[in-house]
Amino acid sequence: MEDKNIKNKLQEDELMRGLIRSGKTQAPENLKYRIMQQIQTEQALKSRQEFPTQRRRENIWGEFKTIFGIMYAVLAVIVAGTFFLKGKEFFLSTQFWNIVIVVASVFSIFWMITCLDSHLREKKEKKLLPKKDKAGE
Amino acid sequence: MCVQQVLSGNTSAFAYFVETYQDMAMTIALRICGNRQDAEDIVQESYLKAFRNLHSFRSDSKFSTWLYRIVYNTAVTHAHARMWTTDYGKEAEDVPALSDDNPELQMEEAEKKEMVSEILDHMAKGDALLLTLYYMEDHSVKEVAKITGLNESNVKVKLFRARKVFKERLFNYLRHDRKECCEEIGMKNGR
Repeated sequence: MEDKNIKNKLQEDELMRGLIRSGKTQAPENLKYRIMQQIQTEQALKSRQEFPTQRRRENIWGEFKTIFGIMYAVLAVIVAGTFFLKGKEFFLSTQFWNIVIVVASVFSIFWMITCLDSHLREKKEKKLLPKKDKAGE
Repeated sequence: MCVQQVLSGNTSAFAYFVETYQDMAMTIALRICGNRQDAEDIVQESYLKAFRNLHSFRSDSKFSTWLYRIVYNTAVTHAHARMWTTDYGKEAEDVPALSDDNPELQMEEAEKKEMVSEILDHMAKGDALLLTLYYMEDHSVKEVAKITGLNESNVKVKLFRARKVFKERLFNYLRHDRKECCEEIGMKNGR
């Protein structure tokens, strides 16, 4: 009797399974392409966003080295010229130090403008890129 | 294996998951929101969420269970649906067991599909979803519980009731269908 009940229950389960499986919804053909296209677009945007940030950091460091390298080269030329033309005593004069301060200031301001320009460009690019959706369930 | 491939940067490997699970994801979304267009949007959004959070997927559960949970959550949020109403109205009467002997069940596949869809559409959303999850892809009670966020005993109870309601409605549908058929034949003979 119990065996028959179990058998009936299993048979009923099998029938239910068959019936409910027949009601499965088919996803439209283009859904897969829509999903994959969106994923690939997002991935491409992400890598485009990551790559310039890294490159910009490298650029800023390169510009820093170039600008201050040139500054020290100019200062070295001034020191050498002063030494050969005006002698050792001129190094202690205010006039010499004024020249050094002016040269250092000009190059520092140039470096500052470069950084500011880079920062503004980054901000503008971020604005142009679409906002990323917050992930999570 | 596929998960690792996607995580290592092979985005196109994700197409396997889309192809394999999109039908069931669509069925779940449709059961909850009841609208095909919204269901497509929900499935698309769910797959995107799954892709973005793939790194958080732990292999202690099946990928399908994890994905369907995302689909379930997205659909419930999207449809603002109240899934688990405790009020069942009047308790379903005792219904006879389903068996292969039921001549009414010998019908065309398309007809069967229409009948099942109609019955499930008119059932409570939660009940229809439980039956779909349990029978359509042979998910265990534990997996159904994981997807829906219910506990296992709750799933068992609700599944038992849902099965009963489904059977009752199936018999009503068949009886109604047969009655309509007899009336139609009677009208033809009367002429």
